[in-house]
Amino acid sequence: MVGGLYAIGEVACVSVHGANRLGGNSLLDLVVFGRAAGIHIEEAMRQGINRRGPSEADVDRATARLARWNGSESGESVAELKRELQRLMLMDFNVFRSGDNMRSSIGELAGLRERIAVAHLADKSRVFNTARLEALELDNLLEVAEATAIVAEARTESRGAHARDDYTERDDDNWLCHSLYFAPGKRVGKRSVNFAPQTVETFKPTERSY
Amino acid sequence: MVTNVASFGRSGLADFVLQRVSAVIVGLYALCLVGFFVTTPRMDHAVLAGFFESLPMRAFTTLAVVSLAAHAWIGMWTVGTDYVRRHYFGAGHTVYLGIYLVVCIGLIFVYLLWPLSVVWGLP
Amino acid sequence: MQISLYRFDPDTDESPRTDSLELDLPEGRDLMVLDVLELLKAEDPSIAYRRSCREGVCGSDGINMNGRNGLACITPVSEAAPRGKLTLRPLPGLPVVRDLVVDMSQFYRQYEKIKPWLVNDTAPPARERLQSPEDREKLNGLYECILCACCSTACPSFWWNPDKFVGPAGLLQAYRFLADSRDTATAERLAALEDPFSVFRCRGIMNCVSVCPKGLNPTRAIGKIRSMLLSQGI
Repeated sequence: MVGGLYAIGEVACVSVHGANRLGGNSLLDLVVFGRAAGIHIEEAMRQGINRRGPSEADVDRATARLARWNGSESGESVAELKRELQRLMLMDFNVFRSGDNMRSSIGELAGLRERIAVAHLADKSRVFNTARLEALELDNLLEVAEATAIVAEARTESRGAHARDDYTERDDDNWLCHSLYFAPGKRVGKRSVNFAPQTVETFKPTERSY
Repeated sequence: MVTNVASFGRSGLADFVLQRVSAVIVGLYALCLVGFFVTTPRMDHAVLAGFFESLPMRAFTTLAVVSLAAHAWIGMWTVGTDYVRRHYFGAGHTVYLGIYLVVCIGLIFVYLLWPLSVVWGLP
Repeated sequence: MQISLYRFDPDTDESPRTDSLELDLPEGRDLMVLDVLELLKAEDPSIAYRRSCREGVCGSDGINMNGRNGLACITPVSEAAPRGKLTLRPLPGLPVVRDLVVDMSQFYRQYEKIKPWLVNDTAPPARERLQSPEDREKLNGLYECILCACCSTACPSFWWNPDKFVGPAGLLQAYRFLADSRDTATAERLAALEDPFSVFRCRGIMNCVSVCPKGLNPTRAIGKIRSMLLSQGI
């Protein structure tokens, strides 16, 4: 646990939204859990937060990343690599997915990672440098893309906005859960859904039909 | 919120109202003059002097000239504070603004006293 | 398409310059000016500008296009440059940080001056401070401001005295709180605006109304503030 680090929204996986990312989901999360987080933070600050400071290794890794971009003298352009990343994610990790395409794209993502590692930041200015921001964000986009891709490929079912043509049915026995992704080791984990609402009887999951 | 010593009224509202009221007064005075010139077919010095010598006309002229002075001061101050700024005149811009305002005051003084001396027959 | 782009990097440049660029626009689509900027930046990553939502609600990408202020993300190229040449400059009157990025501090300072929050020290009710639909109507056309600064940077009075004249954006928000039935500090707010500079530098030039990307009317709001001051002062 990292004291003082809070998460709200879909990333927090508090199970208020199902597998569909509908418009308005974020509004509910912000209003309800934003307020809850605010109240909790106020209390936590009163009691004192046990904050873990950064280690030397953490700081070194961060500065190394910045130094890598600042020191780049040649290589592919950030805009070009970002376009490729976007194209990849759009083609194979959209709503309709298939195992083969996902697996090959995961391989391409690994290739992109190597290319991004030696890409070129053309603008080294120290005043309001948006090019450097976009370069750092490209690193971040790749991490998120890889997380999305690997977990999507691992989830062998169709559920909501994750619709696979090789696993067309919902698999409540194995996959009625939140997916967790651990970047070191690229490991996929599971976390059970919170089925304990306070004041209403739990609805039993049934097949979705109209 | 912005305190200022050189503006005419105590507040921005006072200047705003005064500028509009004085404009109306001067406008009415101008209409009065135009009306007189239009409705007087035969004009000579006696007729002209007679018109301005009547007490109501002297009072109205005095009011109009004072209004014009106030209106002019508010206007010149506004324009001066718009353009006599650090951007154009550098660090000493307040000095230039002061000189400009003093010159304006001087001119307005002349434009005020001269008609009044004519209208009230001062030597 | 011919593009004339204002460039200035204080790290390397002595003074600003204008770059003349050529860009092939895709056929059959009317791009937004922001799309054009993105295409230019793909070729030259050193072009700096602010942007975020790309749908006209965040107010980040206020720039001056062919002499008119507006939001780049919702201004079609055909509208900004009907004769085929697009001139892009930063918002006028504010200090330039780099290329199309301006320092918004003065703008924010004027906004903060008018106390842009609800002042009501009476005991808060159990749930909400109620407001009738008619009173809520009065806030329409006032609360929608996204603080993009297109209006204030188009106002000559704001150019001449940005530290004293509050500016159309700030005054629109000042009126938003004056008009709010739940606010109890009306007298104090008006007293703070009474001086010759804060409100009364407005001469009804109406550049603000002309450029507001959300269709708001600061001149009308300023007129209403003047009326309130008048009825209070006389």
